[in-house]
Amino acid sequence: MQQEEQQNKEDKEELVKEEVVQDAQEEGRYIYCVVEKGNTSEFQEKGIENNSVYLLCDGDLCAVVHTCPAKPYVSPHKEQVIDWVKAHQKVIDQAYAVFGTVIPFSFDVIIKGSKGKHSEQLVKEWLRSKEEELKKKIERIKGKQEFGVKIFLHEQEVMKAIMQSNKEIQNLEDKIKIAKKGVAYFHKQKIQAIIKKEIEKYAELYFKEFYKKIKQAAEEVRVEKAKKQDTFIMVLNASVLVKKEHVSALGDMLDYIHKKQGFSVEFTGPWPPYSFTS
Amino acid sequence: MEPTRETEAGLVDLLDRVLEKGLIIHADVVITLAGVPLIGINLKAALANMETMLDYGMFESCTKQEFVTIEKEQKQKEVSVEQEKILVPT
Repeated sequence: MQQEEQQNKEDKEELVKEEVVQDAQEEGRYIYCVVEKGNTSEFQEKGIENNSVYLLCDGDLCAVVHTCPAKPYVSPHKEQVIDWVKAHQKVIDQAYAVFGTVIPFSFDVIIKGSKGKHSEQLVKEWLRSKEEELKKKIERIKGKQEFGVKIFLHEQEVMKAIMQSNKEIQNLEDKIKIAKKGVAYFHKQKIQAIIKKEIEKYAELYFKEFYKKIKQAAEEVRVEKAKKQDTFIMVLNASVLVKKEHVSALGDMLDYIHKKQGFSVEFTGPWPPYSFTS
Repeated sequence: MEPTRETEAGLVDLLDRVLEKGLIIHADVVITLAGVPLIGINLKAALANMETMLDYGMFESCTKQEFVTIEKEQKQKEVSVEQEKILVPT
């Protein structure tokens, strides 16, 4: 019984191995994005590693692809990955310039032929099966662009403000002046804890204020995880979907925040709507 | 204030988007899932582990074609701004 199971397992593994070998030799299609072609039928670009990029269409919906071996782009070198990512983005930028609206794909999405079907056919079948969903996505993003907004608070500035205004901290500092070493240490720890809590309070307050402001200029806002950066506190990290005609209003508003004492803003884009189509 | 792309911040945002977001297809025809090992983690760390983590066979069992988002399960907290409740990743 055990032997039989073992044999089965080995057979299975053998099968998987064979498939992998076979797959590696097959052709695949690397997908950059999906567009609605409208009246345009020509699109020729050079993509990742100078591959020729072309359209694969089912009706009005087209996938922007290149032909490649059915294996992913993988490298242990960061620079190499960055080059690929930039080439990926460049093709999407071109598609955006030509077609106006694009549904961007993530890096390294490759379709391979399967069950006797050619990868081109599978891409087309997929476009057909998802037609309604894809068109809905296109409607959602038409005439809009994505931007990245990060708002930072300078840690020193906010700490200074807290130290000056917090009564509890002032009391503790008075105590420290006359306290013995051990007790002073204890008080200092307590001050640190209060500062930490106060900073969180400030950050949340500012988050709410800025979120509200950004929301006014944006169609959609997606809040991302705020990452800690040495001397700055990221109070808001967001991807925003903005109508083209509202971009300058958003810029003005961010400028106002950027010029506020103790704040700085990073404003990146325009990006294809990566955060609003997946 | 004008948005920028050709800055350090722009590159970070580009990588965040292209490697972690965007559409992917989850199907038996997909041999790689948006650079699986790069998802949601530090790029450098991911690169080191890439080869061991990439597994061609790992999507063999998926037979349905569907959209999936590549977000990892995230911890979130709820923040209310006036009437609106926003989920903020923490």
